[in-house]
Amino acid sequence: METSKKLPTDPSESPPSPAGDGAADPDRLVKGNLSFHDITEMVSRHAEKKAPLAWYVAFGVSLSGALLLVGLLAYVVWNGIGVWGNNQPVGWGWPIVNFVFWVGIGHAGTLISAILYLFRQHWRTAINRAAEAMTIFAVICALIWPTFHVGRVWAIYWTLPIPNQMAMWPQFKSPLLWDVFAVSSYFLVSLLFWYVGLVPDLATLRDRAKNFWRQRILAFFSLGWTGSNRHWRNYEKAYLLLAGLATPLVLSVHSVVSFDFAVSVIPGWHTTIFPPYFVAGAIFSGFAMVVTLMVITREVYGLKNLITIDHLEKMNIIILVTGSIVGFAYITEFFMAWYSGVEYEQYAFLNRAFGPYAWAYWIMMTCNLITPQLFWSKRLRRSIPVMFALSIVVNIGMWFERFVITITSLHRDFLPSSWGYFTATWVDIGTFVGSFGLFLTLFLLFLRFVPMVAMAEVKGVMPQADPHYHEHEGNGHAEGDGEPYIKPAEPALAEAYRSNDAEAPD
Amino acid sequence: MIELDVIDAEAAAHEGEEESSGPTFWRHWPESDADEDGDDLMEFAPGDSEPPSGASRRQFLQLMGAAMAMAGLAGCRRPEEKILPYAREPETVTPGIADHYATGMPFRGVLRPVVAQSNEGRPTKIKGNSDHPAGQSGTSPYEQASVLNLYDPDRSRSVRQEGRTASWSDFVSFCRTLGNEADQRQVAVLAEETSSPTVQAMRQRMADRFPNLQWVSYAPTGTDPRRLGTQQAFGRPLRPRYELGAAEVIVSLDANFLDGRAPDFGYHTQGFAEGRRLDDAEDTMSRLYTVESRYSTTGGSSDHRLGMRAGRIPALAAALAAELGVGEAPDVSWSERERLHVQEMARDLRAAGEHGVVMAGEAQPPEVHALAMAVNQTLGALGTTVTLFDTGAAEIQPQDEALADLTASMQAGEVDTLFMLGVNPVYDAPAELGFEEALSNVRDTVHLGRLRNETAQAARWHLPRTHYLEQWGDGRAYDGTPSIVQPLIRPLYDDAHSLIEVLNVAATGVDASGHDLVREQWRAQLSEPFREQWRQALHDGYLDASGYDVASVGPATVPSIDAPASDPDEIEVVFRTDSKLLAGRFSNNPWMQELPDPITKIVWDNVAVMSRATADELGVEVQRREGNFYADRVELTLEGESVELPVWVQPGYPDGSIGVSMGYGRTIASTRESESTPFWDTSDQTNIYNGSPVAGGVDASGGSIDVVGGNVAPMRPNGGRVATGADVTPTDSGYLLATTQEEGSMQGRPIVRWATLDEFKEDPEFVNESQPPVPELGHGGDGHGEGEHGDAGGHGGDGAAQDVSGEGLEAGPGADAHAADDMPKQAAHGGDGATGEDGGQHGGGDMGPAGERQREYPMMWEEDHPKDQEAMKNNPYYQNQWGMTVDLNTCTGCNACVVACTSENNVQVVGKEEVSNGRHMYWIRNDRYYVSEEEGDDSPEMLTQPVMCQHCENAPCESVCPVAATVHSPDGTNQMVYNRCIGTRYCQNNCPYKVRRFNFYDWTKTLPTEVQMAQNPDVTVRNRGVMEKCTWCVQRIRKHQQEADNEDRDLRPNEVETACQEACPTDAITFGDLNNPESDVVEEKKNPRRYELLSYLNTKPRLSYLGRVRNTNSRLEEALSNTESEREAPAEA
Repeated sequence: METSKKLPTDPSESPPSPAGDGAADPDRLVKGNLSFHDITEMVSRHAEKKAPLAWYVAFGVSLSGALLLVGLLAYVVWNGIGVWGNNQPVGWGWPIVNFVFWVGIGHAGTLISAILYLFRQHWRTAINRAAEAMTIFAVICALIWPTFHVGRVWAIYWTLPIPNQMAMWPQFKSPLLWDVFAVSSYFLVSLLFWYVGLVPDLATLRDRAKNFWRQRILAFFSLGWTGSNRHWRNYEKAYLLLAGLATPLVLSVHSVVSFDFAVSVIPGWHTTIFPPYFVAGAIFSGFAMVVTLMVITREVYGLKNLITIDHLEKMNIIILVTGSIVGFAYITEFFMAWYSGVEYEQYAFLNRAFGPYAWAYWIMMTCNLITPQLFWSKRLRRSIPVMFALSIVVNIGMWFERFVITITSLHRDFLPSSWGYFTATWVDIGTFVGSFGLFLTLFLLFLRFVPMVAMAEVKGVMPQADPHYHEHEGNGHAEGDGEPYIKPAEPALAEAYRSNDAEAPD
Repeated sequence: MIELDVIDAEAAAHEGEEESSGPTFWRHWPESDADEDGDDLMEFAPGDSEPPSGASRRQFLQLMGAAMAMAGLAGCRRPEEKILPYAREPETVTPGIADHYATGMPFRGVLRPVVAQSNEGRPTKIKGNSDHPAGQSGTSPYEQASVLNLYDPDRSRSVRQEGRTASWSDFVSFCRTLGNEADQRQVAVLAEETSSPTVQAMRQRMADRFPNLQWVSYAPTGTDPRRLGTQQAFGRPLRPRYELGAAEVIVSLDANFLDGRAPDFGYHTQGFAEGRRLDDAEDTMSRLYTVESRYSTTGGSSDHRLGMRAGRIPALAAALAAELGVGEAPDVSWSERERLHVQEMARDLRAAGEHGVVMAGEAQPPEVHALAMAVNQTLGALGTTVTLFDTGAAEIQPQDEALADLTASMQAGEVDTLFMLGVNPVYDAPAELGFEEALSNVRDTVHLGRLRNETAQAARWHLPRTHYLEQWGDGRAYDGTPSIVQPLIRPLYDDAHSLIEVLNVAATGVDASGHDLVREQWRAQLSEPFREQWRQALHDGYLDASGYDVASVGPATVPSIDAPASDPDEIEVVFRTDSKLLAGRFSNNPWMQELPDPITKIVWDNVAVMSRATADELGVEVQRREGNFYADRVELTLEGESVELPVWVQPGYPDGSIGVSMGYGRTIASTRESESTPFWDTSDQTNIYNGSPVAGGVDASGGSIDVVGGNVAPMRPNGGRVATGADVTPTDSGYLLATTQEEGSMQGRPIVRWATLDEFKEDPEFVNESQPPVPELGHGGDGHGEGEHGDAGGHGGDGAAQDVSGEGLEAGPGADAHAADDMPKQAAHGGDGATGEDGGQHGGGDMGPAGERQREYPMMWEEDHPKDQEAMKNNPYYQNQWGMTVDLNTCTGCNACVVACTSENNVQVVGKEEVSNGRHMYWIRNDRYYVSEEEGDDSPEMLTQPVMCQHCENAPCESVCPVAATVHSPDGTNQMVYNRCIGTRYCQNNCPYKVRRFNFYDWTKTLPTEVQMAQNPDVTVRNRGVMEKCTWCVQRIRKHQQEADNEDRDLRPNEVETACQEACPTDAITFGDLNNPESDVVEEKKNPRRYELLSYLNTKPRLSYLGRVRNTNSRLEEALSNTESEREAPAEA
């Protein structure tokens, strides 16, 4: 059987390369001297064959987490918000911390697929599918929190501008309402973008399907894709447009989330630095989550030739850069508090660093500012164990960043008489753990049923995609400069092709 | 379930035929009882009592019938089949419109005149009777909370004999058997202190029937020392009243006269406030020195407070008196601080002469009272600042001695029948008397009480007692003015009887109604025509011009006071009634249990209060962590009695002293079953009423239940309020104390702004000197528009504001009127109409070169500001623009406003655990801050500040609500629309004053039916998951607006009063229409001390505070700081 063919899962076990194919080229995005068919095979088989035992184990654990979440949310709705630790003055507790955390995680995918697409970062192709899926699942997890943390969840639809018998619109001045729009449009566009990118691959699966129902279902979702030139042309255009549409959303969604805080009057929240700082933080945490997931996925599913160490290193560099931006923002906040001369503001920041929640602040500082600096070392940022550990540390740090912003700012504000303290309850912990359960459940389902790497796109960045690959010797690159085939259509070039002057680029 | 004997049309008609042709209604007693005791009724000779004729019934019913009849219609009682709907509406009752009846609340031996509000037959709210010569509309917290005692779900419901349910007629027949060989019976009565003339008459009847009657008045902490002290000084017990409004210097020797516990609280606190009110820099104010052990609201309101061991205060009193030439100074070594205080107090008193006054605390021994009187006499204050009432009482025996004698005779088996009426000696008598043991020697013991309390469980007979709102009675106010106590509702439980009725049964064996007994008593007092006089007295709530006479006294006998015998190293324990529960009367009242102590802010607990040094010495501490206090617990042992209490470290508390409060550690027997819900439903855990008395005790099946606090009363020495030689051993640690305020320091922020009187005179606008945190913004306009503050021409803007131009900044609803509050001497421009241009003009005009003003930056949604919307201006409510001021100089932090708000607005109680989670629901809170010159000074000043919704014009809460559930009203209040709220809690986060309260659980779902009856029907109860907050009693505003509208008139100035304002005994809170120049609030807002809290945020609150001024003695201040530095100098060297 074809599936039994041994495919190289790791660059180290690559078969000896045929002479002159350039397998040793460090710039090459796909290692292991794979053919198009190998790629198809490597990715599709996981969506087709029976899942490994490890998958079932992981799925079982995740699903019980998801069920815990469902159960506890029912408990919250039945009894009231009091089962969480929220109080006066800390009106927003873990639910909002978790919301911002998950929205932040949900940043990486669309950034990878849209912004890096617009910037022609071809290395994105290996990870964008999984990263986008992660984004969508993270946003689903995020949406749970603002929905269920309200006192009367059954009336949550009042935040939507639906014409109604009450003749009431939502209150458009409220940042929470902006959130509703920002996060929901981000979710819809991300979902659409992901799905559009999936169509060619779904068609591939459809064509490989041996089971009637599988074929039917995949046929439905692949929208009659035949791979014709016209389809590709429309597809590319749609993809480009959606990338253009998603790009501002990537930046806006977390900016708007930061408005929840920045628009208020509370010291520690009322800060103009929040939008860029939140976006950087979100990219930071999102990439960390992608690294966490990809490190495991490439190992378990044998995708090391597709998701190479070079990919991971690039992500680690982004983590380093955004981590430093975030760290810089932390320090800037302190400077601004001092420079403003506002004693409430100054107190809020001193209280963060030295007050009752100092532990949370220093966890945040350590995880977000200090430890990512390890990535300055090339050896460390190419080390799988280091990056795996660090990516988790970064996400812990980013969760604490939201904790610090939300809770330490609220617990002591203007009037000392109303100062308080927030303590999480078991329900807080349970629902947060449960949200990871839901996230991983969805992600495992994704790994099981959907091609986890964008096959069509990866193939597009392989040397073989170059129409001249088979005509010439060399490394297969059209211009010998590491540029793969796909590049912007230059009018002159197009003209040259049209006039059959095929030698022109050479 | 409560069953009500209701109107039976047939029987009523039948009865009517017998007596008169007019309509007849049901009577007070169930018909069946009346029939049974028909013979007994005949015992009243004509004229002895008003015959129960139809006509007199009608008289009564005209006043009372409506309320009482409707009581039967209230939804919470299951109607019997005989119920009649209103075929014709009763004359005085309009559904939805409350009735008000004057009555009186018996309180510690006096009657406090009150007016009770009745909604469809349910009393729901109490306010003071301002028509009463000794009354005012303000009250203490106790009057406010007393209404919940009526609806206490744990009230005793039935007569009990030997622990089994019995009937009232069983008890009546028991009383009849007492008549056999009455002259051989050894009958004793242990009754609460009461001023009721009818009780006096009943006592006489008892004495007539039982020649060997022993009658002891008993209160665990009564006002006995005061009576004994005046007796010592003048030969007979007199009742002093202080005219504090006329006083220039007040010295309080442990006299906590500003606390609601003081019997004449209202008069004294109001007088005090009068002397402290400052309208401008020319005003004078009194100076208050307080010497006390435990920090009290009086100490917090004083200009100089000296914390001192309670046992040393008598000696200090003697030293002070000696300084003024009265008596001899005892040989006591005083610290420099104490010496200076004595010297300066004496100097000031001497200078004030007849305008000085020395007040002795009710817990001080009689000698101190006598001495204080002698000092007052020497000062010439008798007649000016001190009035002595002659209560007509003859020489008295100390209560504690009388109780000891009674207990001794009980022990000796010399008492065979003991009536314990309205008292709870098993709980609160000193253990050294061995009362409970002695009780077992008495054959027949009868207890009358509202709860099945400790004594009820120990007594052979227990009778449920009526609440004062259910009974007929009478009494005298502090000044002796007699009042009738009239019921507003029929007793909730048929078995409940009043003290008068029980005494009458015991004395005569005849079951007569309280109404008849009181009427009979008053028939003698009132002139003819009796009927009209009676009606008038009921209507007014008092009988005019019949108070006590002012006593004329000879020179006071000066007692000699020795140096305290006790070793100063020995730990003393000071016993006081609790500031919330008294000695137990309010133990089972959740409003009071959850009311934060005015000083410690602790709820649902009693503590052993001590100073830091004492705590260190004992090796105990209170840790503040995670938003709560975790205290070590100590075992206090005195004379073999011990109690375990958590420790509380209190600044300003004297070393070597431990303060404890009574009223806790109850064992009340429940009459209700507990409810248990499935594991996913937490309402059984969050329901504070679940199955047991809220104060703790025993549940319906006899199991014991967690008790709130520990009972210290048995440790109390008989005859004293202070004990020495206590043994204190730490037991365990980590006991959670729930408080509503965790942080006691203002952190140097200009929250409560204050100055000394001299500073105020120098700079009347000192409140602006407290630098706003953004000086660049605040001071740009310095020097501009000077003198315009207050009298700046108000540019009445549009619409309603026009007629008030000229009233300056108070005139209008204009947001920018308040913009410049933190900007000293800036013209706060008149008013209203602040459209963008108008504001821009002002801004430009006043721009100083030094900086920029906040006005330069228009609000983001300026054009859209609600006040500028056409729809608002077209709204009739726009005519009124509400505003409030709170005078921090007269606010004493007594908590009356907090309880009044709870009662008016159906604010729910959440229990200790939820308070410790930071989820209390109070709409108004009293913030308490300690201030001292230096860090760590252990005798700080205390400042209190009531904080409620500030009704900001630029409310931060409004703009962040995604569903527009909190909005601005056309009349300028910030409104909360519960129905619209989805509970995002963003408004709560964004409120800089943190006055918004979220319903984390469904507090009203589990309310017992009885407690539901206490809810104000004009205010909705809130659902789980919605935000709530102070509305400035919008229901009252609307009610008055509707009334005005019906009467086709404008609202009168000051017509609308909020509940907190109404309850405030010092009138520190002023509320009214800023658009009406005649409103008091407009006047108050012109006060130079006015400032707005956190106004630098540009929230533009409609609530202003008037800064506090202390009238300190600069000589004393200086001398004290010199000694401080002297003391420190060697330490540094």
